[in-house]
Amino acid sequence: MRTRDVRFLESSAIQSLEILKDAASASIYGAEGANGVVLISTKDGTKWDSGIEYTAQFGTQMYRGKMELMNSDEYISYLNTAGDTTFVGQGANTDWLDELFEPAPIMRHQLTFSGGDDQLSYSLGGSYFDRAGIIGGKDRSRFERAALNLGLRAKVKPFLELGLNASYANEQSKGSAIFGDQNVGGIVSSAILMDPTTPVVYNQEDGAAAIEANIDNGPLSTDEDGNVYGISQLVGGEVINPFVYLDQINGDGNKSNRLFASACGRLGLLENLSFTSRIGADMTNGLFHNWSPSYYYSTERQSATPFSMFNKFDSKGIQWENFLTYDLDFGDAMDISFLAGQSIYSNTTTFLNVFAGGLVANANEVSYADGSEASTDLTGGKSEQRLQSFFGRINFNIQDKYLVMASLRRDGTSLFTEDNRFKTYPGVSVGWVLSREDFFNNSGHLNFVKLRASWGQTGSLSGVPPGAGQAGIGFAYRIYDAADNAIVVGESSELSNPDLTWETSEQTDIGIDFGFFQDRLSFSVDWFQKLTKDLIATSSAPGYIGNAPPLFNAGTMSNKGMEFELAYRNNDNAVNYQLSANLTTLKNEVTEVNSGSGQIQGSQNARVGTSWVPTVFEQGQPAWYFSGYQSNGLDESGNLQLVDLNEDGVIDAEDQTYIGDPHPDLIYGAGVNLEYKKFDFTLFVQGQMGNDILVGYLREDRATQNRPTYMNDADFFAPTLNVGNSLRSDKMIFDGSFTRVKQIQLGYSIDGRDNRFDNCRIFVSLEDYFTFTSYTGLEPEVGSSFNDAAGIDRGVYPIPGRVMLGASLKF
Amino acid sequence: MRNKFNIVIAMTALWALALTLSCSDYLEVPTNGAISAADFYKTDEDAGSAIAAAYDMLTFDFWNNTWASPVVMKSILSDAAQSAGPNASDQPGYEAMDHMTHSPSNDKVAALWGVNYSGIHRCNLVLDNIAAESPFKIQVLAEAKALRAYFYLDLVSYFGEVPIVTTTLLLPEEYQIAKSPKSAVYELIESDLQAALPDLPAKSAQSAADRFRMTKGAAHSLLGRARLYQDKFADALSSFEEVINSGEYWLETDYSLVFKKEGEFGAGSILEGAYSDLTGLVGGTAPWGDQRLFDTNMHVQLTGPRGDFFSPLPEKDFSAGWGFNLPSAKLAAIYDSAGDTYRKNATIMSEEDYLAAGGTITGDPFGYQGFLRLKYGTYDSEQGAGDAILNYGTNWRLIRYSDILLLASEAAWRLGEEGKGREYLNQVRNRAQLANSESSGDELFNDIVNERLMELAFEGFRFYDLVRWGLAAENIEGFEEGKHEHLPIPSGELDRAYSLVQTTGW
Repeated sequence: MRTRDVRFLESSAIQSLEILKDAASASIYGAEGANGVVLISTKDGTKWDSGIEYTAQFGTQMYRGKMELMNSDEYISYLNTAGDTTFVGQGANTDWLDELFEPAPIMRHQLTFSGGDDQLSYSLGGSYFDRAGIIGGKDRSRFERAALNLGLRAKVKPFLELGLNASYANEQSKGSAIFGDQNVGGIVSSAILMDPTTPVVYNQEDGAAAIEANIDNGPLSTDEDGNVYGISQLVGGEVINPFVYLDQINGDGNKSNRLFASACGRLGLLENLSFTSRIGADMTNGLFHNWSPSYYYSTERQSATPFSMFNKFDSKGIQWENFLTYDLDFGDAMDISFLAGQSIYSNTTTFLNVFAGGLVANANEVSYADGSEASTDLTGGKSEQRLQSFFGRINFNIQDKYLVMASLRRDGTSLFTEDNRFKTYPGVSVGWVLSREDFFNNSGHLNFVKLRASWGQTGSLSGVPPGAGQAGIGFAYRIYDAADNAIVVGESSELSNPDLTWETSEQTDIGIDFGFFQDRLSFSVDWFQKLTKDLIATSSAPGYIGNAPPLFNAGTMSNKGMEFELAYRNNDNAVNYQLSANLTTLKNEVTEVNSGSGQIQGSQNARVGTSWVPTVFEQGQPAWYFSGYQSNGLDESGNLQLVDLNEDGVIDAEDQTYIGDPHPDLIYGAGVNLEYKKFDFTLFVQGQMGNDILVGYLREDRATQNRPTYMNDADFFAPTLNVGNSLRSDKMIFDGSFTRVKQIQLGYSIDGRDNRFDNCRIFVSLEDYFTFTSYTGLEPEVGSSFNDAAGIDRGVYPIPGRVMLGASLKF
Repeated sequence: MRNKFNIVIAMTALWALALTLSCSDYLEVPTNGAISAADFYKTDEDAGSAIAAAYDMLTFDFWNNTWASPVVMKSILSDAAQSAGPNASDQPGYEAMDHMTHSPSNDKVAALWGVNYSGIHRCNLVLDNIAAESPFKIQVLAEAKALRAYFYLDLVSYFGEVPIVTTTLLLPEEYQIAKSPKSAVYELIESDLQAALPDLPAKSAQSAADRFRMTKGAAHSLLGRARLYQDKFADALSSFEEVINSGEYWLETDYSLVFKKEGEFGAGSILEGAYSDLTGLVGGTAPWGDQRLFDTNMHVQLTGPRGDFFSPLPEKDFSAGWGFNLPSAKLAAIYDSAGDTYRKNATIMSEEDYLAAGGTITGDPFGYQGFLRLKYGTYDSEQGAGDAILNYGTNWRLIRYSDILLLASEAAWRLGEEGKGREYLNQVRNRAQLANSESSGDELFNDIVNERLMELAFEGFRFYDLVRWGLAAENIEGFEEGKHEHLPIPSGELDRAYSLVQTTGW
């Protein structure tokens, strides 16, 4: 069953996890395998002895970054130097980051029963997971999940096997509004930019004047004890006291029920011919509820009455696959297997959103759209998309020495117009196990050599929404005629592209695997190239187009590089250990652009502040590189000198050029596993090098915002209130390289006694706890879900470090 | 056993075949939430909805998270208004415009550009897709041309040379369009209006509800204005006289009611941007995160006297607002020197009068020069249900008869027809209880200049009037000749359109 989201799966329910990266092997697993396929097999009891396993983990999460912002004195001195000489502030010295982040608990329990025999096996598990966020506290930011997993496999008849995997999860999450990567109205970015002279809350005496100045405008936000949250006199707009934003998060949050089930039947038709049918369902329904009290912070951030949102959604994904497999066995000489099949997939989501304004009181009790005196706004919708595929594959295996696979699939989608719906994707892979050849001398240290080559294409829809290929007219707005009658506005909310078609990923991989010392040491090298053709992107069109631009097939991007993997294991001594390391070099380049200008600007998804989109897709450059002003040192007064590239005497948009590359040159990881007597130890490190980060949390239109401490450095540009172009310069580009210790775990096992239990293991681990980087933001992993916004730091929500203590018990 | 298998195989094959064949239209899925453009633009009702989308751009308030009303920004650019607000860092875009420190990255500048081009796009959709096959559709097509002319007139007067877009552009390869000279933009405006005129109704032929729509009078007014802006004075005068002699418009007796609800679509109203106070907007329901607010006139609240500084005057029907667009002392002085207490009292309120009415002032109001604005004021009686402050139904008066009379007067003066010039001028003066102007020559022109300010203050004409008269540098502090005659092309626009070059002087 396909899914984009596997959060509902507890790790204890997973039997195995396999990542298919090369296109030829991914191609058989459905449309949209272009980014690789992760095959997760869930437990059905087959490989398990009868048993009971219980695992519990408790821990705490915390902000581990080291971002430094100016304190009050530095801030005032910066603004004074910059020219705002009258400003004195409100006397506090608030470290907003320190105030914002707080340690948050995390807890996990899992209980699994499994058993069975050759005819029938089962696995039954239950789990509970509870995690609070490091911003907002447990009442405002929390994710809870209770889940049940069931796996069954039955051999009903010698020719019929049935399998079932089902999981049901009940989830509740609060604080979906607390996200990062948002510099207009974000909570994280507000904490970065907020004026440090403003206190978090006013105390009775010092705050009296400030409270007095605002109290007439409406109820001011207060903390639980009734203390009024500080209001900055200087930083305005969407940059407000982050606790005022947090105060607007109340209610149930997201509550959902998810059923994820797949059933599989395999029917042996003839000795070598079998028919498999798999049907899967992924069904979620849920509610979202939030209410905000009436509050006043500023002209732009206020609500005279409390209001609530109460939404319901229902999503249903159904997949049905059928295929025939036929195996031909020529004894020792050769195996040939054929596979041919067909699949359909549909996903339907419906939603109903209720917006209730003018609640009768600031109270949860009347916030379920049942206490609104002014207006209730209803919106709803349904979106549906379908996929249909046909596929076939032939595998040749000659004495496990020569391996050849060829596959072909044809994928169709409902998202595009009729002529652009279907695409055909072939794939081929060959393997030659040299070490099985007679001429190969097995007596040396080298015991295994395999040469591999594969080429294949897969398709991707890159999140294209329904309706992208069709010019649609929406009716969400009204105008009022001279007698105040509403007239429905029929507007095309964005331009459409009838030519839009599949994004195709074409991947070539050539590699060699070595095994030494009876596979104790393994080493592999790959050369790969992945061409993403007809890349789907939204262009940000000039405003004179008069409408939001459509998605289109923007061009071709190439990612190529080498991949090295090295592993060594030793189980012969008292100390058992495994060492592994991998390293990938990456070169990203745009090789073709389908626009008249040879360039495509990033979409609004990459917008920094209210108007600047810094990323560009251009031939011969890395995809979505950062485009801005080059600087050339400082003038005598310390102002940044920008380069007038076209030498026309003015610094304007035409002088913007390449200033940074969001793609890493090198991605690496390394792991150590040690076992000594009853102790075990795991260390896992990963990192990347050579990628740039564009600091995008600073706002061009909020000159009085707070700033990171390095902006006070003498070699940075001098304090200025006229920040515009300097924030669009290479001074805002920083090295994003980092190495992160993902996990350090130490465990101790106790063998069972007296048959009361088989094994007990206790462990302690540090996760994402140490990060080595020169980047000065909250977090070096500034990723965005949008390709054209990669590497932009708009106030990212930091990955918390975690200290975990756990125990598992097997019976 | 063998037989059983054969049956199973046969059934499977048949079933697989049936599935494949029956699925040929499996991928035909309707797009919900929108109807296909191919099915739209058919009926009269469709045409009404499609043109409503273009009218919607006349009441734009909010653009990409930023307050931006063309009427208000034009007012703030002039010497009659201060940006004001709580302090210099609230709405820095307006504040910069006030001091002529606006830059190409100014959010309001971007909004003025964007709103007009959105309007043009919506007109183009109507013109590209609706067939002239019913009386109503013929009228809608004419409205689309007239509206398109309205939007281009705004663009050419504020930005100068701009790209001309007259069809719907779909794909990126069509997006790069160079700027056209002003003459080409004016040519389009004139030809659109000429083409629209025969099919637009006279105001008297409109139903009461339809009075928000374009009329012959509005089209003649725009045509006259476009011609006047090109110094085609004779043609301009003849267009204005089409309006004046139509008998469709006259000046209301009570100037102060012209801008109130009861004056909506009144005798002197030629075109309005229509808002409603019936939508019951509350703080939460206001679509703050949307590209635009709609239906109610949020800028009335934004530009009311700021509550931190000024107490409301309930007995005067006057609430607090958020403080922007305050009158300049210069405006008051001009009323005083002309002896115009009538319009002064309807347009602004002095501190003396405010205090006498029971008002109190706290602190040192930012941008305050001793006067509050009454025109387009925060009147309780203009509010609807919901969060009252979010529900002002006050319409923008986009074209008024007195504006046309004064433009006609100006055109006549330019042509040396001073008698006619005085006649039109004096109609406006007399309504304001001022004596006839007897001036001639430069004095008469000066009278017209001041009359336009006193009659039309805060309506968004003063800045461009000063620019086209060549009087901006001497009247507007910070105004640099050779630069500030035009707003710059928004920087975001230059980023995205390689075909554009920045306006000279910027």
